[in-house]
Amino acid sequence: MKRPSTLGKNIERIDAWAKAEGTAQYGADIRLNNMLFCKNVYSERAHAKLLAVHIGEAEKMPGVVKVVTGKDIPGAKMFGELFRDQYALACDRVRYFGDVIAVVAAETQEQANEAAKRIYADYEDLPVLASPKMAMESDIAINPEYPDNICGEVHVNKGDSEAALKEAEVIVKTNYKTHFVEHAYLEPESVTAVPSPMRDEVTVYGSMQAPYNARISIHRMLNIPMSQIIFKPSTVGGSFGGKIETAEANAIRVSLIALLTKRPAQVTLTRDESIRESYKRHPIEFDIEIGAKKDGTMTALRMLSILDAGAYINMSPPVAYKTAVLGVGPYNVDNVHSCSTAVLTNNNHTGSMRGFGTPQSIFALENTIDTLAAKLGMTPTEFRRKNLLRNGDVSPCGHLMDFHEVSIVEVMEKAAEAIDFDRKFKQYKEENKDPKRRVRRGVGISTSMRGASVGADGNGFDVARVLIEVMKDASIHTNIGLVEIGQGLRTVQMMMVAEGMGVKLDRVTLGETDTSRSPATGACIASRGTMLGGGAIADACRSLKLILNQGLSMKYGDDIGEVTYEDDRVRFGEYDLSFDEVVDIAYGYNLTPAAIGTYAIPITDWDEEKGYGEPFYSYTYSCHAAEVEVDLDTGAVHVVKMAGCHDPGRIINPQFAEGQIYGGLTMGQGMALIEDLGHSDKTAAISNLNFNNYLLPTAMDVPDTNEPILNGHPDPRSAFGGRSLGEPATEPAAAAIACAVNMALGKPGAIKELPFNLERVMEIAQEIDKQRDVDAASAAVDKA
Amino acid sequence: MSNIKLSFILNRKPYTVETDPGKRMLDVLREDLGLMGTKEGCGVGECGACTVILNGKAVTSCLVLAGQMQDAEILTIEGMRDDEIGRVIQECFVEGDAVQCGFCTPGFIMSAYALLMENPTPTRDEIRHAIAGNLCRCTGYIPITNAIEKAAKTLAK
Ligand code: FES
Ligand code: FES
Repeated sequence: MKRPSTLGKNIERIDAWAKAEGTAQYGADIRLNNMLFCKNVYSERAHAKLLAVHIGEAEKMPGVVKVVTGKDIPGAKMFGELFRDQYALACDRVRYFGDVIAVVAAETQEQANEAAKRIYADYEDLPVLASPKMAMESDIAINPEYPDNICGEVHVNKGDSEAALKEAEVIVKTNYKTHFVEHAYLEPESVTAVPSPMRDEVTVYGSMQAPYNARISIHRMLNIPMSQIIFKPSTVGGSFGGKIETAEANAIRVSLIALLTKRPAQVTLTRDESIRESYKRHPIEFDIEIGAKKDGTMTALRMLSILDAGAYINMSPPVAYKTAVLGVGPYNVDNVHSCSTAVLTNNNHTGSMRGFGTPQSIFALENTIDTLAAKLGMTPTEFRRKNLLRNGDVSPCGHLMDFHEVSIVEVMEKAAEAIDFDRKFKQYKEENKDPKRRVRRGVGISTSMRGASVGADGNGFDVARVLIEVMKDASIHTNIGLVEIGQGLRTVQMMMVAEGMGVKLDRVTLGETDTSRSPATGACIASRGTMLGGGAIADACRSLKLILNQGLSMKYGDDIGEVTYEDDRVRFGEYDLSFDEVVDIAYGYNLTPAAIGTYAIPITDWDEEKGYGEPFYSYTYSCHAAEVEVDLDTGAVHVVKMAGCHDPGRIINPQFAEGQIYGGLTMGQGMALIEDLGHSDKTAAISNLNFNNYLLPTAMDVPDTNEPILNGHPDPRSAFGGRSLGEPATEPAAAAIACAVNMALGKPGAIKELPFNLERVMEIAQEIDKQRDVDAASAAVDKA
Repeated sequence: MSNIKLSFILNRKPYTVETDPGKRMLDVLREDLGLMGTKEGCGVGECGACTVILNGKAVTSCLVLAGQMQDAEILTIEGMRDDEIGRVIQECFVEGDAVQCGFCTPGFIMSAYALLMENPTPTRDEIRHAIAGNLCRCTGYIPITNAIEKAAKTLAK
């Protein structure tokens, strides 16, 4: 008999009512007695020596209580999770327009704003390296520790790709480019620091995705013990990987002010400031070569990628890792070489963003695959059907796929079917040949396999912890430091606790994230929340049951045999007790039913030198399919429908899963077609600093027919069977649209650079028209 | 500008505040009245997070001057829980998982409210039109459209 489970049900979000009533407290909603309001002053140069910052005038302005600069930081001056190369307050150099040179704290926001205008600096200009190409050719080092400006390089090698390319019967070679993309969380960053009146202690509230990382930085920079830095993230208004380093820099600055003034201090960024300061999705340039046999068997794949890391290293090496190892896709190919290089520039730094280096590579690879399929006379689905991984195959990085259901073929078929891909592909290909047709239609499809958790480049460091306590009233209180950023993680955590303890869901309570109550757990990043959080919860539940069993043994004797916790009942031998009774027994013997659960991802067999092996412990499989209409007269692309099919392991909450897919498809649509920061590759400035020119898809742009498809196979490698969906839900989306637009424009790879905006589409439309006129003329000559 | 006395009806109750009429309505709500449910996402009228209802129309309160609140009837998200229509919309948002990070949610609920006041039986396209000025980065809009459609149907019963 299969017992009823909380998992797999549409349990309502625990925070939905507070959000719907407007009572949920976000960072900027915090108001405290005596609180100071802060204003950042940004660098006016993209690259310069910072000679002096003049704050005297600002200090005299009404209401100003404190102005801080880099000099005021008592400890280490730089922070960074992997590499400490970023000033929270610039000291001797500025490296991009988002560097902060001073912060004003005043009684009111208006006073802080006014005073901030009086701050100016003396700079000695340095050449601005506004693209990876400039940075690689320059002898100027942005960071002296990286004289060639290269801050990360990752490679994959399987078989002999060069030899295989020589032998290949059909070869395609392509070049693709992607752009800076903004996370565009709707809530701009806001952080509040509150000093303790008793000791050197600060409590930080606000929009923080990674509070434990920030705690380390404040400890190092402000010289206070880690235990006296307490992070209590507020409700986070979206993050998508974006509220880590920028929020951390702001937390360091306001904590400094709070400790110096002994008053609470808050900074809330305007949208312009948020876009100016925050890190972005990496622009990446790809050179790809694929070889195949005439029968369509893929034999060789080479992918070189150059990532723009911007001014700080941030997450660039691990992003390059994912671009290199996941960028080669879910294909069965014996000869692979992939190399990703991250280059420092004076652009906005680039870091974590939903997908983390793969939406770009999938865009480049899947368009190349379409080019190859066309050359082979195959349709996009025919080629993929033939070459996608199956159970027991070896992945392009060398991972033997024999540990779970490799469902990518099934996933692709379902996405394709949802938009009637095969029929439409044939029909549109035919109808687009009609030179009189001004609105062309196209369909596109793209696939991915996403590693769940950090991956082998973090081998040994990927751990989650949780503290669970069974209270005297038999409620189960859970403290976990993985942050809710809107994805529903906390509700899912509660569901997993109920499952792990075999009790009904309403016994489970969850504390707000608080670093002083929950053991350090790493960040809610890298597709790790469900799988690692779940592992830690399962471990704590095991320990709790052992403690409760101890009580049972004390009361019923050592030979009670096996005890099962199911359906809110505890059963052993002849006995069938309620969970409450069992908890009473434990407390009656003065036991402590509290446990810390720990789960670390097993170390995988990855050879970094060779670039071969098991780059991740497990994977989520995804396919997106898109249908578009392209207007040759205006360049406008209309998305007709998108379908997203995913296998994220066990589907823990179907409604949340669908929500991730709807949102992911939309984020990919924006990236593919309209989102553009207006970056200048001369000055390194970005010009689209607010939503009046950084355009996001609206309800009118997103097809009302979009379709999420869940195709879950519980993963034996995950405690509750679930892997991840947040990142997979967006990573193939831009590629599917790009493939569809290129198909509509008559050939795969027609446009090679994101976004596919009006100008780029028009350029190809004009070529099509020119070709049509040439064809018509030559037809006329033939006739004559 | 010097402060003046502003009187208005907010969430069906009379209020008088002394404030700078040149301020943004958003700041009067959040700073003078402490009503933090109305959010600021852009400050330039593009995101809709600050949407409130002013004399029956949905407006972006970051673009409305406080002076315009004089003698006006105003509804904000804080007024929705005690409002029959507002409550149903909230219920449908919660049940339909139209709320993820929730930062856009008050604005969407206010746009939905204005729509249903004016047109109790909207088509899906009319709903999409009514929320076109509200940005959401999380939900992909369909769950929101579904929730508003369901609210309209529930209220029609
Ligand atoms: S804050 Fe008013 S529309 Fe964005
Ligand atoms: S729910 Fe996050 S922006 Fe809409």
